Amino acid sequence: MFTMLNYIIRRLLIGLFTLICITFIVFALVSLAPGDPIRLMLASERINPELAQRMIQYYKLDQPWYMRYGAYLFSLLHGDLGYSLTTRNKVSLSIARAFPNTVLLTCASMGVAILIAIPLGIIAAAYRNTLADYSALVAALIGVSMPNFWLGLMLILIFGLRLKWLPIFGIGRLERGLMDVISHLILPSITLGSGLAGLLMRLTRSALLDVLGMEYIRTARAKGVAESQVLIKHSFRNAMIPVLTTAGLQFGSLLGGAMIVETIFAWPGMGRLAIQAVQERDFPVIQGTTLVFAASFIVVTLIVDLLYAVIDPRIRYE
Amino acid sequence: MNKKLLVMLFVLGLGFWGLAAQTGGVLRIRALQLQNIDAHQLLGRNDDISVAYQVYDPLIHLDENLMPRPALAVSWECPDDTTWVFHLRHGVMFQDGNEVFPEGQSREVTAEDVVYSLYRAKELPSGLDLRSVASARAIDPYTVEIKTAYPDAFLLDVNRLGRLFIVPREAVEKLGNDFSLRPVGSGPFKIVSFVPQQRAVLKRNEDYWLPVNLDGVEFIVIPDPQTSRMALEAGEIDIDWFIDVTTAEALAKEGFVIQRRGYSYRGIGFNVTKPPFDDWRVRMALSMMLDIDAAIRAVLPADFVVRAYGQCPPSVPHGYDPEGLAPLHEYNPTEGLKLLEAAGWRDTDGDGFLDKDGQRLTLNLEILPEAIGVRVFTILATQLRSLGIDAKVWQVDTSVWTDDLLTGKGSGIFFDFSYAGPTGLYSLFHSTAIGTSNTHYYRNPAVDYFLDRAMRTLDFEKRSQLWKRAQRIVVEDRVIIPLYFQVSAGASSPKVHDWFAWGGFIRLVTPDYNAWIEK
Repeated sequence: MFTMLNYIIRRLLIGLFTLICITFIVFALVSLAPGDPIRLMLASERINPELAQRMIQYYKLDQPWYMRYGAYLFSLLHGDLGYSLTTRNKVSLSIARAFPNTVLLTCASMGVAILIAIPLGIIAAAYRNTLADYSALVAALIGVSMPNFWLGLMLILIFGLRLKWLPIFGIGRLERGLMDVISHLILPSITLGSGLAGLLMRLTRSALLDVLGMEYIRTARAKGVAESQVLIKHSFRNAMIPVLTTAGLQFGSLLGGAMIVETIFAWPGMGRLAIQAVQERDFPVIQGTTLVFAASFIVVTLIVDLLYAVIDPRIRYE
Repeated sequence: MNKKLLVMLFVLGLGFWGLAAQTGGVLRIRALQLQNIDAHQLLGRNDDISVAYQVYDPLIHLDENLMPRPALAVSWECPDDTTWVFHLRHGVMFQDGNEVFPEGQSREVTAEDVVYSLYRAKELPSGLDLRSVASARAIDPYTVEIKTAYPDAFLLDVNRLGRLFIVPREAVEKLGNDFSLRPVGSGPFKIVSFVPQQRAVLKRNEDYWLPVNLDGVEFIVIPDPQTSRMALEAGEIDIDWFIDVTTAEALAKEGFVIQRRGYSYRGIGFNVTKPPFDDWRVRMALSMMLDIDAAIRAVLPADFVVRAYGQCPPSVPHGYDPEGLAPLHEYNPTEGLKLLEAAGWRDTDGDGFLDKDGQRLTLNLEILPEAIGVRVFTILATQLRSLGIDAKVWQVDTSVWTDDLLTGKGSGIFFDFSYAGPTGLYSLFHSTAIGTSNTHYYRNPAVDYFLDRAMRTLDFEKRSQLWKRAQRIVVEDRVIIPLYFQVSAGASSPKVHDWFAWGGFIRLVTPDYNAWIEK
């Protein structure tokens, strides 16, 4: 138990160090990139020069970037992500609004992917080199190959515009009932989940085939264990390690926001928040979103690593 | 005979009944971004300003010709060139039913609120240029006196008092930063909820000083243009006022109503301090070598474009001067090549491109990722290449484009996409704006003189003459090669009536307009 706790603490400390490195790299890159929001405002005659000068001083844009980084890190350690340069709202508030939406979409997409990928992967492995296997492989290939933007627009066209079964855009509102939220979630999660499903299905199939070729499976079959038992009880769990790794990494990536899908479906998540901040050179928001993205990724990978031990008791963290 | 007459009258009556404004319904409008609707932190964000127009009352309205019309101020006068006196409407109440003014406990909008709002707008990034305002005071509860430091001909412009929204001080002080999310004004609609980057939900202000037809309005963020078009076609939104010209043509065929909401200027700009564009002959030659009409015809539908000969579009009546400026533009590639030769540019090495001192005449046309502009520029670059100029189109990110223009680091020739409002000419070509909005680095004392005088001339005719003289010098100096004014368009369901977005922002309830939805 203590060994496990030590492992978690060690990983969290490494994660913290990684986060600090990321803030430094992002801060340096953003500061050295051309353009800043105050200049954008000045160029468009939307702000008078005296006010621009005040804003430059307020946001310390007249100081060298490494000095600003020091001040940023100091604020960060006090839990302050700063204020947006364009909206003047708290960055933490913007993130607090966008992040739950992204988590919701990520979980739903992952759910769609797993619901499709695991059964299909098992069927494909169980009926290797049959019509079922080939069909599943073709379906996976289609899922992986279809670009998100195209699939999203097609789904909107068919289910939103023609059949009018599902809403075209937006996140839905809880005050209108749970069904409103779910109906808004269906098309974006299918769009995002389909590509992932193809990837996970192929992984499930190949991992299962590897396990099914092992000695202990042959022994089990020789002992007369039913094929379904062999497949589900003896093989599936052992085949899950690579699937879990990939699914975990994908989950972590999706938590950073899926820019294209979020844009097409007007989903107010982290991807849109981040890309808009980059376009407007809104430094505090870029820093904040990157930080959350990196932290989510670190936490998710840690959870995945811990789950290995649950799936395979032979794995120990020492 | 009488029966026929009766039937005709009945049909006519039905027709009139059908056209009469109806009350009720919620209007759903597409937005690109919703960020912050504090009346005095709007900068130039079109969507936020459009929401603000529904929540707050402006001091004055501007009509389709950008002429001032009464709003909160019913009348105004100028006792002298630097004094403006505004008389406020009586009985206008701030919205109630919120945490600042509980139901039935609101108060009247007074001159003190106007003074407070004016100073607040000066202090914050409101997007209003109020530098000319020296002081403001309330003479009595319904009279405001504003003194300017010098005569300001554009004080009622959309970027000055023409968009000054009036707020109650106690709401700003009580709500703090949350005023940007839950503002209180005296406009035709009250905020129900505002979620940045998602939606703004508004309901009718029952106590508004004008009758309001709509029950409510929703601004909904839909970033993707394709999704938005499908939402409009599916009836999930009623107005999309950010459509490109190609979509506008298609939607018009489907029966949607296309509204024009303004002109924006497009041209080729030069940094006149950067070689080889510091040589007037080079700039002049390039302008003669471009078949601009052919390029525009190939890309833009005729209904959505006006050929530009200067920087002021038709919506700037004191500067629009096609008759005066058109003769300055001539498509004559042969003469253009002669001018370049006189400037020392000729093909000495026989590679098909002009050169001078061993350097090829290379133009890297810096452009924003704007589909139509890129297509026009590609045609123009092809024309120049066929005449021996190594012209390329460089598509860059907006921030990079802006930074290059402001710092002068770019190639020196760029896509000129600029503010084409009433004071646009001043921003772009006055020498005091070098380093900010004068990205041409252009300095001409004569232009400065005419613009300075025009800015302080209240008489329209005299101001117009000065403005046009300044513009003529700019064009003669070939600081820019004007290409076209692009019409910005919006589309609405045919069931939506009596709204307008001219000038760039949606107005639903004004003394001249009162939006309604046909049931």
